[in-house]
Amino acid sequence: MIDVKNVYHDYSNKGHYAVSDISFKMSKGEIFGFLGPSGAGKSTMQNIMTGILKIQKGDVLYDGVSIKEQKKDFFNSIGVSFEHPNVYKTLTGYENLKYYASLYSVDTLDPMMLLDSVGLKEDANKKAGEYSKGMKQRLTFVRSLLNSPKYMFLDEPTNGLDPTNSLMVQKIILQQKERGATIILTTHNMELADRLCDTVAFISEGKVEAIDSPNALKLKYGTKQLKIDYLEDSKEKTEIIPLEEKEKISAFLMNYEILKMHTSEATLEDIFIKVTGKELL
Amino acid sequence: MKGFFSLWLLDIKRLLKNSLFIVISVTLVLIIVVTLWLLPKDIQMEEHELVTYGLSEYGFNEVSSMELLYDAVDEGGIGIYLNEENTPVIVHNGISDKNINAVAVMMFSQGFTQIESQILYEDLEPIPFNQRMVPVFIAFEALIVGLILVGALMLAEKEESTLLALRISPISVNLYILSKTTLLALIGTVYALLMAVTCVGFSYNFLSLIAISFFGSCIFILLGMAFSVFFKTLGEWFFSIAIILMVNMMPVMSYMMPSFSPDWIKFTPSYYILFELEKILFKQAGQILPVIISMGSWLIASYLITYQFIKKFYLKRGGRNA
Repeated sequence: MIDVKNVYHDYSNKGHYAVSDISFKMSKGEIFGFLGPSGAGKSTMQNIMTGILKIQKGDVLYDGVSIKEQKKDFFNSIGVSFEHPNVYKTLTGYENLKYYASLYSVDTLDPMMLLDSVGLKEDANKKAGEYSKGMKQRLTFVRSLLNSPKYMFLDEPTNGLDPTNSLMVQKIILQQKERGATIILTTHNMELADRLCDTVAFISEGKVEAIDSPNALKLKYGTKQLKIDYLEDSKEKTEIIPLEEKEKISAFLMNYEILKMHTSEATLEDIFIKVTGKELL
Repeated sequence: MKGFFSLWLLDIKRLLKNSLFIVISVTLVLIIVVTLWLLPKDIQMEEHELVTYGLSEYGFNEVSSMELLYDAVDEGGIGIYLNEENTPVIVHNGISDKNINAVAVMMFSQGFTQIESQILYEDLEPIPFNQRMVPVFIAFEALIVGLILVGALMLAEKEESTLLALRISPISVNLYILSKTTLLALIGTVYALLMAVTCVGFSYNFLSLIAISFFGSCIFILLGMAFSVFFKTLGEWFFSIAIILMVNMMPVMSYMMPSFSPDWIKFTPSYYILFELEKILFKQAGQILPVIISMGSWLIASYLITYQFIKKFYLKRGGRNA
């Protein structure tokens, strides 16, 4: 279990907080999504949680043990996939994984099997510097699985991937959840978060604006709507009416020639904009 | 140990694919070629410190005992004392006939009619100039190789952002430092041995040469690591390290002109390394204690500094001991 308690971080030490009073809890086997635009503070939180950034105020507890008290062995239990692929360019994909595997003092997975799982087996002996962006992204992603980590931090893991490879990575993330890994997914891709996350936190300007399951957020902030395409003075028009406005819908149906209509649900992105007042970029 | 050798293997693979490593290796071969075939053998050092015992009235650098006179000769100077027949004896350590003649002419001008020459260690022959330059090349090329390469490796880690991945791995600061230092010091030692064997031969104490080369390399590599922490590009790093290397090369002046040996120059890490290399390669006597104290102090100080710099600025992490 991860317990994040009132975390603040100020890079400049001048009271300009990159993250401010962030608190949440995560259970074993949960996928937790950090959603927000660039510069919202997502990466800062990930760096604090992985121990790269020193915690200034508040605390992060892993099974009750503070990040401040974690020792070298802590890194045997985490796996991190970075937003920007970072691999040794002069080594092959296989050598990259083999090398990192040897740094762990716990059992590690077979590098070739991992490469195979993301479709890189054929290119295992090719220099990583010659990989495309998507291939490097997949290599960085499987590197985070080497030590079968208890806690996984995935920063935009499907960035730069085509739909097929993106689905492949999503499938592996769900397999890791099944295995019992606790996963922190940092992304601005709301569809991805909606599909994978048990809980999401909307983060904007370093603050958590809302935190709940995607469904609960939709129920709380979203409205079901009816989209009606109709004819008025021989011109095709569209009207979107909340489902609860039944009288308005009835009036529309009686007064216009309806071409087509269907219901739609608010997306996480709609809700994010509604809650934070900001677009996701 | 698993992680230690993995880091070794990784760095070996990276070095073999690094153009700088190839350039440095080619430079080493060129230096050997220059030393063997292009540097003349009969040029001697232009300056030796002149030390006298029992000749204070002539205004040279008078010492108070024969022991001190022999020490000065050990350091590359020329000693003069009066024997029982009141004949000046020139004590030296294998200097050229030209220099002996020059000293003799000077003594004749003071009224002496007979002069003797004594080589302090009889089995020593005058050292050819090209061989005399070998300690300089070892100290400032072979032992500096590691310093250059460690900068190249670390700056590549920054450029490729693989440093971030290292920070979230269970690698310890000590392991990181020791793996790089020992690997590159071994490479430096191999280069030093190659230079020594090809240019001087085999008649010296190999163990001493290996020890001084290895630990000398370690000092330079550690200082190079500590320095590299603060740079982002190889270009910036090269410019700054060139200035530091120039300061580090100051002891060459003392080596070429033993009379120039101010105290401050002895605090450069290369001073004792250079003179110890000379003693080892040319089987000269001398005190080992100052060498051990100087190199030991530099080794400990550079390790402690590097450890702190790597921990705080390079593999920086937020946890207690992470």
